[in-house]
Amino acid sequence: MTARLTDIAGNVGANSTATPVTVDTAAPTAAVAITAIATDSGTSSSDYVTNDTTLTVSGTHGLLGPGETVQVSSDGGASWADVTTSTASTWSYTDPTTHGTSFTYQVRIVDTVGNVDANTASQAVTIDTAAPAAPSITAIPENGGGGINAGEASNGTPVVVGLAGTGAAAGDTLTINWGSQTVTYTLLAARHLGQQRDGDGASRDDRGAGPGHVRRDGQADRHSGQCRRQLDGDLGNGRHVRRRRRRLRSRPLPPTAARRRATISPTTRR
Amino acid sequence: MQVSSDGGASWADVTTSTASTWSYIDPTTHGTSFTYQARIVDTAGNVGANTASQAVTIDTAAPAAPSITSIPENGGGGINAGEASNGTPVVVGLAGTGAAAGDTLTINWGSQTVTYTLLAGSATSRATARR
Repeated sequence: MTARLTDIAGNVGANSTATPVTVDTAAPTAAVAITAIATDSGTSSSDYVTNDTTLTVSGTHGLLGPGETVQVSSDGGASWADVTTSTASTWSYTDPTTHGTSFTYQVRIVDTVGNVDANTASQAVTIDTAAPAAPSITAIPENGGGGINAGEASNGTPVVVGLAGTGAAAGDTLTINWGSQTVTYTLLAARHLGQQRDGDGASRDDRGAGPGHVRRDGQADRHSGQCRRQLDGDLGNGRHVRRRRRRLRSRPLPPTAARRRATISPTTRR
Repeated sequence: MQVSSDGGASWADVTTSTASTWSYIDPTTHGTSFTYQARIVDTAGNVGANTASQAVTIDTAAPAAPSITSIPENGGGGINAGEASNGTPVVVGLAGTGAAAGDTLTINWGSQTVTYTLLAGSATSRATARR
């Protein structure tokens, strides 16, 4: 490119020194994907729900042309950073940003002049660093009347745990410690957990039905009407229990009064 | 009808004259700016009260070459599709060229030519070229 001046009298000046200009309008075409974050903490290592606020995100890409680079944004595309490492088909980015709240990763491929690949990918990441509030042991019925007797102790001990105000949600794990014994129970969806929305719909309470009832002997309790788990795999008729559990899960909720009374009652055994 | 181009020191009759117009082919080569004067005299040498004058600016100096200061979009390896889609700004330096308002800046890019008329008071000029 050159420039020159012509004055109002019509005198034409000399051209400037020529400046070379490169034009490249061909965008990259490789595919790109996000496949993992580290650490993806908690129940699932692939659900992008984590309590880790300093993450490494990684993924895959197709064949890159000369000078083409994978870039990542965690601020909605306002800024982009080159990935930390890239092989022929994978990439990884050690994100220097501490993410205190949920956000979305975006990934793209650019060439040296800034042409952006039409193929992009994005992945929402849920940051949750808040520990659930403590539940409460509402009742241990067999512990009444002075304590647990031999007959009561022989088949597990139901424990009723209140979840009100804990923010407990399906998928959370309830752990009961009794001496050196630990029982864990994964909370199920509202119907079994008994979570219902209250009047304003803004929060949950535990007034519904749905105790999980852990029994060591593998016998169904026809009166509890709730799902069961077998504490120890070497006991009883496990096939019978599983079949019955499926059937019982499909039953309608018990009457309101029962739902209000029942919370969650794993049975533990000492 | 007589014309002077030396401030009235000498006067020459016009070359042609009709009932209402006149024309004078000036034999003098004017290397610098000067002023034409015109008057009417009769055969007795009486000069008419009505005269006219007009300054003429002679400028034979071509402007010096400007310089392309920058083509911002050409940084980072070149111009990409997004940048190319809406023209390419070019910053041209005019220092030392004697460029004045009204002068024409011409940018050549391959077979394309863009012209831009300079405004007052600019030491540099921005033009947008399209390819």
